[in-house]
Amino acid sequence: MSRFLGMAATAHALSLTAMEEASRRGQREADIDDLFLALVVEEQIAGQVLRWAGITLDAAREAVAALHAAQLESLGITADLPGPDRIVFHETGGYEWTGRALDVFDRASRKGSKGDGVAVLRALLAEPSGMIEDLLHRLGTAPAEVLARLDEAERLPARPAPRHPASGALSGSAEKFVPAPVPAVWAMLADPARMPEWDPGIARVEPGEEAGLLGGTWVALAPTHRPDGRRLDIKPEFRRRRVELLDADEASFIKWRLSFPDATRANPLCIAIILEPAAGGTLLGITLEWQRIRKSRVLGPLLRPWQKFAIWMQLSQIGAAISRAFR
Amino acid sequence: MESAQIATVAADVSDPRAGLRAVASLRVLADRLELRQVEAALRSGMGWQAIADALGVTRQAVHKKYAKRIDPTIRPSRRST
Repeated sequence: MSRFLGMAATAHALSLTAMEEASRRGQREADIDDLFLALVVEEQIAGQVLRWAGITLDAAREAVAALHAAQLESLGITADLPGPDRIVFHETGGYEWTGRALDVFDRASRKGSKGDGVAVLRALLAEPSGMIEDLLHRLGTAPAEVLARLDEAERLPARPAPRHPASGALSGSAEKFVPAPVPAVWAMLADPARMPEWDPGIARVEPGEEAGLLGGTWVALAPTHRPDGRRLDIKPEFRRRRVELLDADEASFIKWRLSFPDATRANPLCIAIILEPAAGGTLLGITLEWQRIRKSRVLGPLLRPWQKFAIWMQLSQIGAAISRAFR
Repeated sequence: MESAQIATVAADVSDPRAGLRAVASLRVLADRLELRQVEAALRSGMGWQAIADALGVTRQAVHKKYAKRIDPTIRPSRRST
């Protein structure tokens, strides 16, 4: 991935998580504290370093709340506002970054910087307000300690890139950190009835065979309405999906196949997920593969960039949805 | 805490760095409160103009800031949008 695409992917992933965190507290502007929370659950080195320092998402959220409460108390104000306490980002709109959060991204993407999560964390540690330093102290560490850990982690050999299932296939892979233990993540991913929790294209899975049954098939139905009640216009042939459990290895690997039984020309999709225990949660290796039914020699190469982008978007959406289910 | 006491505490300028950061938290709180009150106002049937009047800003300003930010299940009254 080029530096520019890497920076764009980092900014997209961090923005999504940070704005989701802001939405939990009833805010529509994501600030540097939300960016810090997003980095805590980031799957790359920056997130790993923070989690190795013992920072969990719950502890970081408590630290953010305690910091604001203490600062308000210093003004003589006690405010215990009940927020939605659940992520409402996808049901609402108008989200923005604060100016100082944008400054952090700007510093992280300057010439000579990789623009990845590590660069964002380094820029965040250098932000001048003192908020991040205060948060780290509340979490039992300090900017210098985190910087030392970052230097150490960057000297380690990089993890090998996730494997692609087959050369030439329409496929892509990505890693995602989920702030929950492996058994909890497995319980969700292995249960077809819980697919709507992590696949935005599925609203309901009709009761069928028992969960975890290898070779079992189920019928999934697409959502019919948006969160605000407006009707979704989905073509009739794409409203039903056939769900098959192709492979499963208890708490470590699962592979689903999704196809459209009413749209015979539509490509089936395979979703393979590897689960690994990680500090503070579970690391997922997600692979998507579109099994092509018809290949076009003329259009195929022309469409390849668009297809790559579509797969990246889909990977990003599924990874984010799995992580969100545990936040 | 009584309001006079709050004003005294808030006006303490002995540690301006801490004071400024506290004011930043206060702005966040004010934004959260404003969003909650705008949503409550719309749910109670108030229109954008009445909300703008109460906030002391123009109808365009309040609509621009909150039209997308509010809970999408709220249907603001058509007459005043």
